[in-house]
Formats: sequence, structure tokens, C-alpha cells
Amino acid sequence: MAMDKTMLKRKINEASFAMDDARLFLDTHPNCPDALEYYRDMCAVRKKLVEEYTAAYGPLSSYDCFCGDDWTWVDQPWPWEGECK
Amino acid sequence: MWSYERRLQYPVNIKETNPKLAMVIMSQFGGPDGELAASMRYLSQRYAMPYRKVSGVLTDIGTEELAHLEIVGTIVYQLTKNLTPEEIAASGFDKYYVDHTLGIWPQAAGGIPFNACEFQSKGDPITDLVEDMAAEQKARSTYDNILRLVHDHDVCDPIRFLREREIVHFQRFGESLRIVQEKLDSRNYYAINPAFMADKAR
Repeated sequence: MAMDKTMLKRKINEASFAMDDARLFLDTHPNCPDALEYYRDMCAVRKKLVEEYTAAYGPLSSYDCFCGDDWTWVDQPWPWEGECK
Repeated sequence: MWSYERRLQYPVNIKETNPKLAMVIMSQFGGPDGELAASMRYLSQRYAMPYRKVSGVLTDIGTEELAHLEIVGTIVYQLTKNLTPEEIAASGFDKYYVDHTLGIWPQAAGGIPFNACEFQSKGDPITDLVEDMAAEQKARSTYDNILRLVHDHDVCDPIRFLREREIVHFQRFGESLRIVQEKLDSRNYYAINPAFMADKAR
């Protein structure tokens, strides 16, 4: 079943954070096999989620903007906007 | 080169505004132990760091601090969104408002503007890394101070995340210092600057 936007974003945040944290650990423990495997696994998970999100809701990175007739990068909400009206 | 990703590292969705609290949390945007100082400190120190692994730590933590700057900016923005002049006057936010309206500007909670003197880039790996470890502790203490004043879960949650990252960064800088110390040979017993030519020759 396809995930909704909020859930997909949440999963992307989780996989990205797993990589952010493991990256720092690997910087000072570059030969740790468990950390290397973890980073590789999370990288694959994240890649799949980002592709799914980009296809459904638009790019998270401007490098992934596929130029059609309109420039849509600036139409989506910015992350600081939040829910408070 | 940096590349922007359209998401916060940790989500922020605050439902109740609170300008008094925004005034305090603002210190972690542009205050003495805030995220802007942290990012600029590590990204500036990278160049003179002679060990690639440690330059990597400085680059990656300096980059994460930019994401934290965005989280803190978001918290302050959402806490002050659409305030009325009456709310501004009653909360004590008026002294900030008069100069910045509801814009986000880097200053300490007490109104002191951001200043590069809040961090050092000394060109000495040991000096710089000891400062970095202290900086992470100072930021952690600041988040502890903030958490004693916050009772709204929507605000506590991202602040707790930021506090935990200070602890992880402290650990990584401790390991970086160990890596530098392992590179010093027995002739450099007093750990004089291993990055400066005149000292290397001694």
C-alpha cells in the first residue's frame, strides 16, 4: 500500500537521520564492519523512499527537479511553515 | 558545495505561539553557544586541520549544525507566527519586534548581536578540538536551561533532539582529539602545534 505524504516524509527523516548519525561514527571508526553495513542498508532504504516521494510529491532537492512547462520548486511548502496558522 | 534538502532534520509543528519562550530559544540561533556559532566554528577550522579524518568530522558536524540552525529558526518562527501588537507588547517581545518585526535575526536572548568572537579558529588542532568539545557542552547546558522553562510538548520534542546531538558531537570530537594525539610523536611531548611549519621542525 502506498504511504501518504506525512508518513513517507517521516520515513525519509528516519532513514536520513540513521545515515547522519552513522556517518559521524564512521568518520572516527572507518573500519567498523557493522557500521559500514548499517550505512549501506540505510542508504538503500533512503534512496527508495526519496524516489517514491519525489515521483509523488515533487523534489526534496533542486537537483531532482525535472523541468516541465513550469518551475515548481518554489511552489511547494517550505519546511519551516509548520501547521500553526 | 552545499545542497539544500527541503525538509527539517527533525520535524517542528508548534500549535501555540509563545513569544516569551521564542525570546529565550533565539539564543540557540545566534547566541554565544548557538548553532550559527557552532557551524561557523567547525566549517572555519577545517582548512588548517592537517588530518583528513578530523577534517571530515568538522565538515560533517559543521553541516549538521546548519540543519540545527534551521530547526531553531523554525521553532522561533512558529512561536512568533502572526502575533498581534497586543501580544507583542504584553510578552516583552516588543524590544525585538521594534528592530526585526517577526523576522529571524541572529542574536542572544539578551539582545547581543551574533559576533564571530563567539568562536575561534586557532589553526592548532589540539586547541581547536578542545574548544569544540567545550562548545558542545556549553550548547548542551543551554538546551538544559531551555528545557527547564518549556512545558509545551511541541517545543520540548525538537529541543530534546538537539540536546542529544550535542552529546553525540562531544563524543565524536573526543575521538577526533584522540586521533590527533596518536599522530604526535614522542618528540612532541608537550603537544605544540602540529599544523604549523615552524613548530613541526622543532
